[in-house]
Amino acid sequence: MRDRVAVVGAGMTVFGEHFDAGLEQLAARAYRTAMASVDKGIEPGELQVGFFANVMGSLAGNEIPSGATLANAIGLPGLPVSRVENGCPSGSDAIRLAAMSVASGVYDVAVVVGSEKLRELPTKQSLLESGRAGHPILSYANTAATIFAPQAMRHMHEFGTTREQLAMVAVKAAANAALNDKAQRRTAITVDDVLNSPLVCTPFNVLDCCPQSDGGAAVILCRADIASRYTDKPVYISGLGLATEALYYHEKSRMTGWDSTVLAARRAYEMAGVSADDIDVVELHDCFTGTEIITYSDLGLCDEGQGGKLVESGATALTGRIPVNPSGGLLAKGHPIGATGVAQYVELFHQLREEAGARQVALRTGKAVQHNVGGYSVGISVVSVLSRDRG
Amino acid sequence: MTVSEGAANEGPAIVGHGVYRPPFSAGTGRRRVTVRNGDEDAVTLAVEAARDLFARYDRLRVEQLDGVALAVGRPDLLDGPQPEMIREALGMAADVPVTTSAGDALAGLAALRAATDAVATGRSRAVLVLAAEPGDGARVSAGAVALVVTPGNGTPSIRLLGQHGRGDVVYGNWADRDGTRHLGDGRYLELRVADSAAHAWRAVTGVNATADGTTADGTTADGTTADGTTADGTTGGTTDGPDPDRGPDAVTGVAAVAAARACGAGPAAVLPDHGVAGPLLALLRAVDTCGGAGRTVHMLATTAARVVAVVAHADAGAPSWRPSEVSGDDPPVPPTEPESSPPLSLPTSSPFFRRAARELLRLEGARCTGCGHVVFPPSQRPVCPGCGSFEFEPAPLSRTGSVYSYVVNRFLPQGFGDEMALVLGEMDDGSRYWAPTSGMDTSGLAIGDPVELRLRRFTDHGGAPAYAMKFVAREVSA
Repeated sequence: MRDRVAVVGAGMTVFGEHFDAGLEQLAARAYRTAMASVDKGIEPGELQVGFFANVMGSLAGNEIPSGATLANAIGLPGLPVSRVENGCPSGSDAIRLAAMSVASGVYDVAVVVGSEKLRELPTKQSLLESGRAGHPILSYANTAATIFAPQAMRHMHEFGTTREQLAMVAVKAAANAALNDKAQRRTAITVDDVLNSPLVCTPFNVLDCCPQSDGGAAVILCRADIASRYTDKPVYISGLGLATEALYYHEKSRMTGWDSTVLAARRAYEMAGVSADDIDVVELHDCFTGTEIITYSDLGLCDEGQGGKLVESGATALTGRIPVNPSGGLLAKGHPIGATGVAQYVELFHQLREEAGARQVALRTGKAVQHNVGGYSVGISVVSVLSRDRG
Repeated sequence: MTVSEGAANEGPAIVGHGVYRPPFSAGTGRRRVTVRNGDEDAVTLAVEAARDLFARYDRLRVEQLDGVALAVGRPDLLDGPQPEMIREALGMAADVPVTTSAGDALAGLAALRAATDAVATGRSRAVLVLAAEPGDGARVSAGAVALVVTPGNGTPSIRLLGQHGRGDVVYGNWADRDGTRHLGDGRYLELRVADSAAHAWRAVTGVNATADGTTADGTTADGTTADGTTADGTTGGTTDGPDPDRGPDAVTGVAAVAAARACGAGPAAVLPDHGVAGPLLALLRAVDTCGGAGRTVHMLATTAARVVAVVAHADAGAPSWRPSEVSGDDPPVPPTEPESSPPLSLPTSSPFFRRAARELLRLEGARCTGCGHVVFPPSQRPVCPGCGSFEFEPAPLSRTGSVYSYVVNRFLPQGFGDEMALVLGEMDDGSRYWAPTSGMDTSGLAIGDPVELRLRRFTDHGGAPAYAMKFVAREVSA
């Protein structure tokens, strides 16, 4: 389905603490921004199907969330909407499912909205309560950090990745986010700031961890052959890969990377007909600093174990050889779970259209990679290849 | 009265033993007690003692056991699934008889008697006796003991020759259901215990404890002598006779000091109070005083209201135990794990915990009969990822290994405490296992550290306690 689906509109809310807005309002704001971004205009009646990426539900989970939550939030009751809850890549998978529904010929135009309200409850009762989810014993006392920290510890042990290299990821993210008015953490930080912030879970301090965020993001997809109705600068979905992997740590083949990311990347690159060398810019899932360093090699941006050196070299900075997370990433832009993957698309939509302003990266091939990973113990990964030009 | 159970070389025999005392302590000087960790209780202590037993005796295997006699002090275990959890954790089949004795510090002796009776009557061939005492952190030390009773098979063993108990309606030095200890008039209690002890001692040894002035201050001149000087033919079936100068070899329980004094034993014979585990530890300690030779040994077990004297024959090399020398002047070693009981994703009353009991309590995976691939946990992996087979056989997993990766988590969901180290272990059989640590120094934790898995309590929120494996530091011999 290479290049058969185009992104013609994209928008998002500011990520952060939206104590003034609920899940529906965040979804609606993102939807409105995405619709308004369609260059030649679009009417709500032209939307034929919707996908709603959301993990935590509305009303702090005191509901049975469904597609109807989104349909009603955006004033379109009656629209066929599926809710996608598939771990942290829920937003990416919602786009993937929407793209497949368009590529299949069933629908011409689809809307995808990801929206999340994590700050409806205090931190210890919100995302952290996911530590009480899963297997009562095998997931005992696990948190988001314990899902990613053992790999970082092992990576440091096996490859000599340093604590400072981890911190450099957070420094880079904050520097990029300072140029993004949608980002949650826009204050520049130093390596020392990261190293001196309180310990959360070895090796991660507070500033090695993404914040808890509210937010929404939305994209409008359509058949590539009708994209010109909406814009002269569509972005094409060239490759899509989703992969699962062995779930529990004791079942995994390695603790220095994620097989699901390697597999999803291979599938996406093959579909798009690209290699990692062809990529101009990457938005990847940096929920923790260590996650980004490990993911560099899983996506083929460097050899295994060389992620720490890659960030230290500056290659992944905004002006580097392969800029990673120009938006500020999850670490600094924020991580409202269901919205995260959709927001990565929003960033790459702007980057490939060269309208990212101060954080615009230099385009060479006009190709970008998006990556979103999660699930208990990291069991699922989504990788997309987006293109400025139709192949 | 005294039971004379026959010659020293026939009848039920204690052929193996195991002891577990947590490495934590409280109090100083004479008030030093062993304390359990926050994630230990009677169930985990009992399993630890049994584990120690099987580690000591290659010839004793769990498959040989056809009965469990459990002794616990606290009634909170009564009618609960905990005895069955112990059986399951030890890898014993569901139709193995499990009996529980409880109520006071003498329950361990009752469990031992239940085991010897079962073996003497031929109902059982090998019974595991377990006595587990969580301790109270103040006066009663935590610990557990495991014994195996068989008809005897020529291996060095202990045989009970006689036992005599003397009770008295005495109020004092007892614990209520909340664990609050009610003391009484110490002088009065001492007099009553001395009287019971003298009677019990005389009954099993034929020696009038009061006649040679060994009781303090002639305190038995309250009529005991008048009705007790005649040993009424109830001496135990000893082969070498008691040694009046020696007195009992070991004395235990809440009234141990008074009982020992009444029977001519020195302070060295008095053991730390290990509650329900105390009498069986005292028996093993009594054998230890033989110095490896065979002879008749004597032990006294006490509550404030009853003294039981036991006489036994120990073969040379019979199971024995000596308390480790810990100076009360050393600083106490506080427990590492909090007494937390967090709610989990499912209440422990959920049927999930029965479905998962075997795999979690035994650390048992499943081996694909087609390709040999081992899955864990079997309840969540019904199909082999190696070959697609649905057919499996039980596969016990290795419990020893080293740290492959780990984290020290300082930001936990509510109820889990302020810090928890979690370890991914690379086990000796090539499997891996992810679990919290227990009792480990988290500041010095490093990849490669030797670790092993032990049963610990995870919570008792929302039902009966839930148990599974945690990592502890593994001692490596140089």
